[in-house]
Amino acid sequence: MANVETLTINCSDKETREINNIIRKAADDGVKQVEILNTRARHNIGVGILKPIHLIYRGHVGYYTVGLCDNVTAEIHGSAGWGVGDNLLAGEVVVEGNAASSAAPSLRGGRIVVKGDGGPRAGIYLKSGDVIIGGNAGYMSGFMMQNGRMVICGNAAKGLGDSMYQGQIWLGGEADEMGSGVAQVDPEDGELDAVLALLEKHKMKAPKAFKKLQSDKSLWNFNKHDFAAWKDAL
Amino acid sequence: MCGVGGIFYKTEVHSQKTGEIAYRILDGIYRRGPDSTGVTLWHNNDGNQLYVGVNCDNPSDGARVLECLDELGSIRQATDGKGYIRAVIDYSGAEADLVTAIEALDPGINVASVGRHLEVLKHMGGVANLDAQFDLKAYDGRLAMGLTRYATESGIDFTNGQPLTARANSDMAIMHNGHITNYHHLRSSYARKGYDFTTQNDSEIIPIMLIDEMSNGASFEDALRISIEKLDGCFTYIAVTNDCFALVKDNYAAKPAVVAETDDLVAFSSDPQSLREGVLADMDVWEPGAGEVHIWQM
Repeated sequence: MANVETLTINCSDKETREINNIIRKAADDGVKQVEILNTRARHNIGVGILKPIHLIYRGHVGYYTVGLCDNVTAEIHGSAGWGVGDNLLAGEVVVEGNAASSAAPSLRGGRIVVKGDGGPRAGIYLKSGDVIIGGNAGYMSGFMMQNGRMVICGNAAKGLGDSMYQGQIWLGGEADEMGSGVAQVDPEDGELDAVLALLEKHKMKAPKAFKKLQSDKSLWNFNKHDFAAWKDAL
Repeated sequence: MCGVGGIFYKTEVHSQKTGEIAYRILDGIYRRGPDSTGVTLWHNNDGNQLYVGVNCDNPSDGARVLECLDELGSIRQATDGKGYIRAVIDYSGAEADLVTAIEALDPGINVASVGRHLEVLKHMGGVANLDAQFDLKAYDGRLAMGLTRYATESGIDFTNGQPLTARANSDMAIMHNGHITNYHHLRSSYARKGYDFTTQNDSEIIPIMLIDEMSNGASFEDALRISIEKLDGCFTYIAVTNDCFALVKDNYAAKPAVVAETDDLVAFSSDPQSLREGVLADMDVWEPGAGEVHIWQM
């Protein structure tokens, strides 16, 4: 298969495991890209791919698309279900539509771009890499993020960045309510330019201004005098 | 886990049979709740008809129930589902009297629902069983919504299956995916107010809470919002009345549900895949957020 540039898979007549095995074999054989048709919101398509390959999803996808992958790039021409790009180590996933709950959970590296809205808990447990949301982000986005960078061009629902340890959240709009232990800080030189360059790269419209948010470190160490803050923190 | 899903047509005109769409959506979420399946159907009411659903612990009690119903009003149509009786009767009396009369037959017989517009159907197992018994696919009205149940808190039987209603308060059915952790506390407080509980299912608290809030003067929408604050736990629930239906999510958005809406219809499901298999189209979906209430009028 090594001389095949683009392999096309029609999901209609295949089991999920068969589809993933075909993609895995294509990556092993050095196929450059796979075009995946009739995804019809099916779950777990393109999971556990550990060699470089480019995936093109023609349609909406279900849960855990591009989950547990390394060095995979993907474009999803539709919306994604829960947990898109789960635990990605390196690579890039671009969702043209919206992403449901927990987009890019535990991202270890690479980038997840959602051009529409993100559901609740986008970027939960983010460990490294970038999560970019073109529209609004749902409840508790960036919950417990440990590092990495999250960019939200629109507004955020309640609990933004709750209990985050490190990393940055860039917010274009307003948050309904900040999560516990989050503070707005002044950007350092060049940081904002890097965020804007990212958006430009993906042809996404930047908001008029960005707020940079990060952990205020108040939850790093337990202090019994601050018990009230701990009671509110989830 | 449980799954909720269904279809609502905004007008009488539609291209696919409502029951067939609901069947496919519920079939797609079968694995979320293989214990039992139930649906709420909305009907035009052209007179005095009342849709009655009765749970029977003893499957052979059906004949007694039907006899009783025929004495109370005349039966237009009835199916004995061996554990669940569905009947359409002509009845102009008070719904509460009918409930009392049926439940006087036997302690193992209780009324699951009465409705002037809403009909509740339930069966054990997947939607295929429900359809084999009650011919769901033949339904072609405007609203069919259901639940596939994964029992966690009460027995796997007809009585504890969903949809659940506040019984004599006709035309209110709910389908609830999740758990209510302050259920026992709430139940005892509503029981003290005089509300009857017929199941051990925590979800039964929801229709009773809504009815109670509305009897205290709250609008339907206000009652739904109050329920989000009063109910502790994770939930997505659907409430259907004679003139609207609502999708309600808890403050944590922990239970899934996606919605697709066009000029003609609203379809939703716990799982986007089942939704698309249901409507047979690759529709754009969106996911309601934490603490949100969405209401669609009939």
